[in-house]
Amino acid sequence: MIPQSPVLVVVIPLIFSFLNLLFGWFRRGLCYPITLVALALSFLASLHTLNTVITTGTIHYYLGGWNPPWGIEYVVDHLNAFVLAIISFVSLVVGVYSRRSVEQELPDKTVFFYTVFLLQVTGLLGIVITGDVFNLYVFLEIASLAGYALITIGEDGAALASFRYVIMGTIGACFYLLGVGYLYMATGSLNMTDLAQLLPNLYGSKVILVGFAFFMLGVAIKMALFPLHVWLPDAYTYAPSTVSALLAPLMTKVGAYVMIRILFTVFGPEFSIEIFHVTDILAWFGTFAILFGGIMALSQTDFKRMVCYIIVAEIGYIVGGIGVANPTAIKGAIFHILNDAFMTACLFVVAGMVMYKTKGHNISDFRGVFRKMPFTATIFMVVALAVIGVPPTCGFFSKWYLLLGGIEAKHWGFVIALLLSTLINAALFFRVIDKGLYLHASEHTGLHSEPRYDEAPLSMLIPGFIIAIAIILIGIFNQAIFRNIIEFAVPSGL
Amino acid sequence: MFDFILSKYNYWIYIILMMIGFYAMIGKRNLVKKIIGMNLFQTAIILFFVSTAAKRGGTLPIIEHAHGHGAHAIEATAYINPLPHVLMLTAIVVMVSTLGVALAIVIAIYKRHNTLEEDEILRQQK
Amino acid sequence: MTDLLAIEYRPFLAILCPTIASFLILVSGRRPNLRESWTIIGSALLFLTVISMTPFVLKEGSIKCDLFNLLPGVDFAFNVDAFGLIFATTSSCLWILVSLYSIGYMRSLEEHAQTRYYFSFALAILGAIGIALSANLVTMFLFYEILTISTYPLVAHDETPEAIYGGHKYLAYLLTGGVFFLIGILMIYFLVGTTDFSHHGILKPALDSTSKLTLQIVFFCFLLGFMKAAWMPVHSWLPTAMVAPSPVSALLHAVAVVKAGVFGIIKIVCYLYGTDLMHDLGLGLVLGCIAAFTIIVANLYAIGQGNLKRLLAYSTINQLSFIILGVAILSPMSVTGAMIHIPFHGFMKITLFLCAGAIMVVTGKKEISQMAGIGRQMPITMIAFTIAAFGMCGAPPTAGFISKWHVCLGAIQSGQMVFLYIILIGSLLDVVYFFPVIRTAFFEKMPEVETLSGDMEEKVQVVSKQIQIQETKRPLYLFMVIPLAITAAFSIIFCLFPNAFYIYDLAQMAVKNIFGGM
Repeated sequence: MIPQSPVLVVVIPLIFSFLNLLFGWFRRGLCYPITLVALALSFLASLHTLNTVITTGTIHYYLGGWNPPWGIEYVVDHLNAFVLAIISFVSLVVGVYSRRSVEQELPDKTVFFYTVFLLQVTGLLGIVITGDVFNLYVFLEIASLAGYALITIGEDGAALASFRYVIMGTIGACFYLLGVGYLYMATGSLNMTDLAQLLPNLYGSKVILVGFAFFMLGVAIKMALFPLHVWLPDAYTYAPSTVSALLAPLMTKVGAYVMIRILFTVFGPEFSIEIFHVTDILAWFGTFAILFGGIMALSQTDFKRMVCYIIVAEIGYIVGGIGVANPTAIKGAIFHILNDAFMTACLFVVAGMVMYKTKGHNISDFRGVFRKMPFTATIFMVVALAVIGVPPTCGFFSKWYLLLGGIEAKHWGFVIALLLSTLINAALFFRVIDKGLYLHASEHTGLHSEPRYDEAPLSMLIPGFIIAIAIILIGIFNQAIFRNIIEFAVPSGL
Repeated sequence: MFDFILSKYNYWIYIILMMIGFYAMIGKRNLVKKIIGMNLFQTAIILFFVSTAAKRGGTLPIIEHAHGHGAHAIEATAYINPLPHVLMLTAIVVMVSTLGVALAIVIAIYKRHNTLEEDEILRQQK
Repeated sequence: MTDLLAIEYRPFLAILCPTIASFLILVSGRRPNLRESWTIIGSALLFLTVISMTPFVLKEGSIKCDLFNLLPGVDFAFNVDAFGLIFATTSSCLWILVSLYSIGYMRSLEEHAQTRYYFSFALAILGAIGIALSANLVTMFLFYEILTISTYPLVAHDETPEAIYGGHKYLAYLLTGGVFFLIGILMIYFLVGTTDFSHHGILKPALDSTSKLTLQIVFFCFLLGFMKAAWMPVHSWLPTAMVAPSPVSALLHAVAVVKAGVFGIIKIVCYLYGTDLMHDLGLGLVLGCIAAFTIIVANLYAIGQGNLKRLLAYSTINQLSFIILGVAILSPMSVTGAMIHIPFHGFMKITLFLCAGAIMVVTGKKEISQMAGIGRQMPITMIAFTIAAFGMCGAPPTAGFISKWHVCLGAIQSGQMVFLYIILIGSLLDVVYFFPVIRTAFFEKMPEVETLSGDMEEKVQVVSKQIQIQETKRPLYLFMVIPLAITAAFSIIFCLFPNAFYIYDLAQMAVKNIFGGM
């Protein structure tokens, strides 16, 4: 039982990113192994933390030995540890996957890429683990800035997309900062647990209400909740493949985690559900996000853009689940954080593999993929079935809980949106599968010869397979995850 | 009514500054003007925070004795609140790094498109 | 190892057979003979496994096989009972025959993407067997979706625009059905906390906590969920799906997919709601009306069809609603008739579709009007067709007679004479559209010699070709002709020995359990 494991999770990528810069200066080839070592160590630390939390309960780690509420405290409970493990696992897998893709797309920027990659991971891990609202702001900005830098080095159009992301993301972070400021002005504390004790007396105060509103807006921008999602499609489409694979699954889910923390840990269910009915509004936003994301995705011809709109819809699932706010739906939302991270990562990994071979990420680049790249196609089938929600993949089980929660709360709008989304996702993915599977369709006769077998390299395939197998295993063994982690992660008082 | 505005004049000034910056970020078409707006917005927020630390008649929060002297009781209410200042030091660092990244992105955009007007760039991209 | 063969694991073995076979098919794509042999071996093993479970089930009642926990209160579990075995036996036996037929069909036409075809076929059978053996709604849903998705490449196999359109329509209908099925499952889980099937239905306790209207709405969700049963007006995917190759139409759209839909409806009526609750809610009458409407209208559509496969499609829709009607009447005899009609109709309809496919391969003809005098070129095929057509009409000595007899008796016994008349009118209409096909095939002359062009030698060749037996010309054709002769023979065997493959005993046992030992 290493007592420092919570802080090691965050500190290791940070230190190694500087080591990366140092050693990469001399030998470029060292970047990839250093990055992998950092991510692997961080993953082990996060697993250890998760194990500790499952066996002994919430961990309180005081940074520098300073007691809260004066020092910064890391509070790791079940929800925290769970998301921590997800982030470190996905970043490790994407790290392994990144090598060939970075070689091809960013040949002269390898050192800087891996350095900023590790900083990004640091930021994401820090957001999740901290128990101090201002510390969260700092890590939020670390992650965001690293994200802006990583997106800019993508293809044509990435710079402008990143600039727009900068503008919107800064607005979001500044709103968050304003929220922190208002809370501090009213309570004098920055520690989440401390705030949870001080705030119930102040529920009638307007300052708290405005602070809450700023928090929600800031997090909603970061999380790409409809209608504040506008930065997401451009940013993740034009970014390099590895960057999309890293940022898309994780950045938005971390935002969802922050929302759960603010709604239920800092402010308490009483405030969010009964006094101000914020969750009702969130449920409707989630519903509209699902429908909007689905409809927009149907009109896309670019595969990565389509996946971006699917992400918007999936965020709608999670926010809708939070908004419905009964234990079943929240369990579904938390489980969906796990599922969506894996599914989105897998989708962008597949897109990256196709891009590696065809230099494009349009749906028409998927032509003949079942024969050219059968293993990639298999991975794609698995993740397509997961997004559609076919058992026994994980997507079905989170849909089950979310739907059941919606039925229990009689929130029929959310239920219908989820079901429609299943059909829309089926239409989206079968469009791509058609392109990949059917070669003899009359519009293509005479254009090309039969595609030859030309599979993506092994260092890209193996991470893809790991995620695909994980998607199936998480589905089959979902009860183990629920019983050990998620049951305890549901915020108390619901 | 006037009392409401006059007594909180610091907040009003900073909020107006914030809104000017916010408008610039969104309403202006030149990328550098947007960045200036972003800077205004963030600076206004920082000043807003710092102003919450001020106290009428409070002095600088530095305890005046050399290291090694025995500690003596401090009357906390005589000093202005140092915590927001400290937090805002961090926020200033964040602001500066955001500025740096934004400017780097603008340089990249300029290299590619040779213009800094957003509508020009969008037209070129079509 | 011997533990694995123990009776408790037999259901799991039954599921493994098509799964492993499909995987082996996928990897042996380069060697067609090896690939086809995996299909044959897999299907034979599956059939043996299923048949081996039957004596045990007849004695003990059911085999339970709980694999692991999927959700609180829901396990991934199999419960092999009498009714499920009927469906499983049908599917597995016919898989062997249709696989042999496929070999002849695909190789004669030198079709593309044969590996994809056999792979999807194996997965589709996996779905059908899984549905037959599942113990609760969620397991059934899992295999239901596997069935839908694996049959999509089969429907769109030809990859022509019509085929792809047919595939899309197929997928649209069936996936929408899947969504309705899911909402039904969730409502059941929400109301009673479990989704397991049981003889007397599990929904009685729900009446305390919710209104009758809710249960009726949930029943309609399930009914919409089983669009696979092609009841009107959500039937139109089936005629459009006839663009698929004939073996696909034969096994899947006459036996596996559509029978899965009907199987599901019977399971919902008898094992989820229970016959008492169905009476209480008045749903039997509603279901019967839908089925009756479908029978009449489908037959009327069939009369006007010129394409042989589309005619058979509407005949299938008619026969499926006949099964639904049998269940809707809710009397022991009629439910027995409905249950035995699943295998009987399966064998007969397969014969018809295999004949249609054989005709297309050997002579290239798809329209009935072109098939004048074809009985001379393909005698075995057309005799089999005739036998099966008699079966559709319900005439002795074919199996169709037995099942129609049971359902009619059940209708009389329960006093619902209207349904009796509907069935009789339906049978009459069957004769109306099948008879012209038989007459055209056997009794019409081929186009006159004078209308042929070309010189005398060519004319002699054409005429002699017309009176030669074509169906045994190539050895590949035998792969097609022998299976359809076997299924036609079974159509008669089932009439004389309804207990072949234990079908009748199983149906009796299932009905006894459902109706509580009447």
